Amino acid sequence: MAFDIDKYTETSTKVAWQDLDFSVFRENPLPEGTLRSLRYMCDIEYHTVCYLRDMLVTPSHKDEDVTAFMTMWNREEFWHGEALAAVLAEHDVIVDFDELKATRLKLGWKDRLDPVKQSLLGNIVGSGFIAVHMVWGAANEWSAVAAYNRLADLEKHPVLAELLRRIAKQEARHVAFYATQARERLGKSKRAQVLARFALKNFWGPVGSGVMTDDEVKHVMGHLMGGPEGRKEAAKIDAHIAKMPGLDGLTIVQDALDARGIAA
Amino acid sequence: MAAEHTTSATGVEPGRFDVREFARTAVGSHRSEIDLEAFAERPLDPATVRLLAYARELERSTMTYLRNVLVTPTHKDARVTAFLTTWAFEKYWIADSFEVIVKAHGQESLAAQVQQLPRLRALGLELAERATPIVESFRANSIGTDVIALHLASVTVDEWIVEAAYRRLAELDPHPVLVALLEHVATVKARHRLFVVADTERRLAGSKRARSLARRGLRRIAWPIGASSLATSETTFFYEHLLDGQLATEVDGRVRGLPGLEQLSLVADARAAALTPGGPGARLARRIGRTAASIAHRRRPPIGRPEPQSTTTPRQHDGDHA
Repeated sequence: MAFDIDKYTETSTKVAWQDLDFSVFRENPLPEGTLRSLRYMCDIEYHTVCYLRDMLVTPSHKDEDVTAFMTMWNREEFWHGEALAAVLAEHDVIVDFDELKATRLKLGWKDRLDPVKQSLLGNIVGSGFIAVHMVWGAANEWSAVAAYNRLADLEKHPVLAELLRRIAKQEARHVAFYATQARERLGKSKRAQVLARFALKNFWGPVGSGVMTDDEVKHVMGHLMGGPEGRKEAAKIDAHIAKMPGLDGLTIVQDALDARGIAA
Repeated sequence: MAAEHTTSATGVEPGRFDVREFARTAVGSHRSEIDLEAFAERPLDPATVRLLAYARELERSTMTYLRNVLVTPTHKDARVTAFLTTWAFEKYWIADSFEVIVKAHGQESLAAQVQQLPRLRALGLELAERATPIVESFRANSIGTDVIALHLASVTVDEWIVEAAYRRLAELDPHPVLVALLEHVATVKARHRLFVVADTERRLAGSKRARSLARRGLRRIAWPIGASSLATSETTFFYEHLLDGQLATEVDGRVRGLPGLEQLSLVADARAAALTPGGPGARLARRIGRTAASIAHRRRPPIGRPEPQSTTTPRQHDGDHA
């Protein structure tokens, strides 16, 4: 299915939550484990600008459709951060810009060298590298959709579930963009397929694993992707990825769960 | 319902630009306000359409700008990146509004004209674009957070140039639809300036090193931002029509009002360069000159004592520019 970038930009909007009564969280606060997962998701959404940076250093920054998408995507994700921060604020968990800055500062040299690495790879490998970024983005967005829907199902809180479904709906549009781009670019180039397969197999990690601590990653993976139902969701994401040209047989999400000892 | 207020109320100092409020009230598409049919009855001057096609590319160059800025410590500052996220969104829609007007005049081909570069320059640009994030990343990461002042100062100068240019454009071709759009665009951009001007002043005033970096860094930029990857003929046309000597001096006067930048004449220099006849050779020489300046800068030892990492506390201005 083709992705209509004009339609996407015209209808891109910040996620709405003003009509939802968040004061219910004051009377009935969410459990600790859920707040911990929400905090993780909130941070990741705010840090989207760091992923944007990694994408932009590749030759993709000159493609009009890609830059249009990235402008809107970056803003929508920022607003997911704001929405989740508003839920957390009702639980007296305050996420402010200074604290986010502190998290980014802690990343140190790895973070400083990432764009260099990305840029060098992008330049050496050329346009095939855009395909890697697109399939990587698709894997991340599929994970996000699954994570939000799963948390909505687990928590069964009418207000939280509604907000999470709204966010997941926007994430699904991001999936459509990345998956369409990835499918086209992989379909055109055997080299891109080999590269994407190698990169995903060896370097992919759950969304946020480069930014958040291992403890937090394990908590969120266990919370949302653990147990038979969670594993089913993980398998679905893997199935989506495996349908991409040249990526059959990949099970990166389930492998990531196994590597972290998340119970099936 | 009170959720947004709860988060917005956190940590915004009185009088400080509220980035969350800015993000919340971002201005999107202008399409519904533009009466395109009015152009069928009374079209814009062809020069205006050509300038709008150029301005469209300037407004749309945010991702290229972010590309070079985000590889530096600027991306760590969540308040700045939150601003840039909404700034890019609003500029996207300003670019879109110019594009629909250009298209309404049947001048779609102007986009190619604006972006068309001679082969040698295209090659040079391609190489420079590939190298820039790497060079910037190494250079700026060794400098630290003082580089944020340069990045915000560059947006400040650019906003001042573009604001003056659009004002002039409305005077030259006072078509009611264009004037109304440019007035609206001016209000959108006024908020961008509120943030960048205040933050630039604060950061420059607080650090001698930031002032020194900004002085050198701003000189290396081809103004307006985005011009370096657009056809030289169109940049020349932009200066010829929209920024006469007096207006350039006026904008430079504002730049010189920033701490530590009293000696700069960025716009007058950019204007002179754009209006000076010179083939690709002359421009290549200028580019090599700029690159050489950047290498010389990298080799220079750090100026003054190292600044702490924090960028949130305003420091006493030590008046090195007095």
